[in-house]
Amino acid sequence: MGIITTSLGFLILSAFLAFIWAPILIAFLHRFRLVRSSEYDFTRFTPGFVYTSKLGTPIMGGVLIIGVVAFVTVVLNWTSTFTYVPIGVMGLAALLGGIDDFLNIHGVPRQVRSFEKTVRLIRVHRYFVIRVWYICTLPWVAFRSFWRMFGSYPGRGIQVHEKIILQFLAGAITAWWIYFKLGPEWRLIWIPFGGEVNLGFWIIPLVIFIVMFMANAVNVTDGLDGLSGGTLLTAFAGLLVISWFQGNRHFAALNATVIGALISYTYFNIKPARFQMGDVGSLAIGALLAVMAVAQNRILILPFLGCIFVLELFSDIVQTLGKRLFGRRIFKIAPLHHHLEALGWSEERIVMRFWVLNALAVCIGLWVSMQ
Amino acid sequence: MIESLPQSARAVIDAYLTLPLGSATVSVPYVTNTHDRKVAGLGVYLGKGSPEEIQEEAHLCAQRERISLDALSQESIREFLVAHRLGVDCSGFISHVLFPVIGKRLFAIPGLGFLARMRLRFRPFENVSIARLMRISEQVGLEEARPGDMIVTRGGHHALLIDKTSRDAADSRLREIRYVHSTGYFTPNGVRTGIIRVTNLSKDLAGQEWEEGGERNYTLEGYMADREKNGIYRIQR
Repeated sequence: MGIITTSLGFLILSAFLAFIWAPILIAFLHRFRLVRSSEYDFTRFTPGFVYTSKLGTPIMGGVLIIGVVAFVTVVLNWTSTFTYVPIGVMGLAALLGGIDDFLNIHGVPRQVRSFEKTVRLIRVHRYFVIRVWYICTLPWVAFRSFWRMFGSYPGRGIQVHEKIILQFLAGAITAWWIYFKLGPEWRLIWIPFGGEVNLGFWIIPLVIFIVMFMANAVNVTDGLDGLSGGTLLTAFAGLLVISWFQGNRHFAALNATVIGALISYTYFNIKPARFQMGDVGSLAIGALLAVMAVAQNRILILPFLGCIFVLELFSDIVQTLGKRLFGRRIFKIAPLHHHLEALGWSEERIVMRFWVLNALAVCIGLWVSMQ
Repeated sequence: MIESLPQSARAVIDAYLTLPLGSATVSVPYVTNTHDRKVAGLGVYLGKGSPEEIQEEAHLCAQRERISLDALSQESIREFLVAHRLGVDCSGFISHVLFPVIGKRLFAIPGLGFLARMRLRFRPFENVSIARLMRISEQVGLEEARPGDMIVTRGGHHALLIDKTSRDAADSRLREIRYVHSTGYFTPNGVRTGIIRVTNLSKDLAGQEWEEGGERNYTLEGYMADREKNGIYRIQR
């Protein structure tokens, strides 16, 4: 009972702190015009053209979650074995997202030279030295162009290829922590119905992939009021229950702290949103969700805990592949929630159905987790 | 005696000619990817979209830009399509019209390398050109022309599709060819119809009376100028 009581205490404390801080943060974001600008307002597919524009809504509301979780954990739940890397990875991802959010609002538009243009320049540039330089940098340009295909908007902020590198770094830190710091028993992957498998070195690429995947999945999902907040609530609730069963007080307290902050965040994010999560929150909480699943040895449960996030990211990937390979749209518009909006579903209908579906998926995940 | 394309192909032509958008119907404008040479994008932006794809994409663009198509005039809707590069080129138009009749054989183009075959398999409409359609076609004489044949012009850079033919009931002599094509040659550009009145069968196509959009014999001023590959081609089925 002690672990449940303690974690509920963390939950209440973090929710309380977040509720106090939220109005101050909203005023701060308005004061410094950290608000959604028209060129990033893609949520306007309400049927009959009755637009529910989100222009002018502050977009760095995720700072609320990050700030409260970091503060409560550092002050009351800090351990070098269990919590410092999750918080470190969350902080790194938040820094990346925060810079991106800030540049998207206050940065200058960035031009990125395409692969085709670079190849043309290699052929026609008047200076030989420059041509050699373009040839030498062609792999980098190819890498950049490849990832640009998956980006929704080239824009002002951090470019997709840069994000991928930084997210890789966040994943690598987690993998390093798991592989080198936590000992051989952490290289075991729990398999539902089948015990554990020792992945050895392969735990490193797996962890990097999962952290990058979930960070982007939550980022992609954060497009409707209340959607990512409510879905993350159920996902972390699942992790909290698992940590109770595992008897890990630190993980239970950390999950509970995140839930508390998310309750407050979602309260203010429900339509009409007082603020939105922004990349600062979505990348950070997505990375944290992945790190916690890895740390609690429940990687294979992650598709259940973050069922909606996985579906949303897959819809984006499928749409990009459809466009690039077949020249056709698979969805009217990606990700999935925008597709449903284009079909005429209201924002509230999508959000609430996704919450319910994710809650069901979390229950299934918990059932599988106990096998 | 009138011969015309099957109803399935006619329906596609009608959809291109009278595409319903907002409260108006417009003919689909001409868009070509020849100069931009874009690859790996949506086919509908490369001049290879079907009427349904063009319609759907126009609606998505309008939604994204908060434009109500219902409030736009026919002329403005056409400008909207042109501004968004939503249209079709000549080979895209012909392949979409003939696809319901010929099916996948339309894309069974011989003599292609592995990569070209793969591209054609994944994105058939985007990788069809008049030159490639000519590879699965045989040239026929004017008197043999029938609906579904292509009239290749500009030495193989453009083609028109024969939609209907009229023949004398008595001696089956060809009197008139009605064609449809997507062209950037006229204003307004896009999918248009025209007539070739066969006045003298001893002359070639350029020697007949052409009429399109009120203009007569325009083809003699360069468009149908005598070029090596010009002529009527029948796609092998």
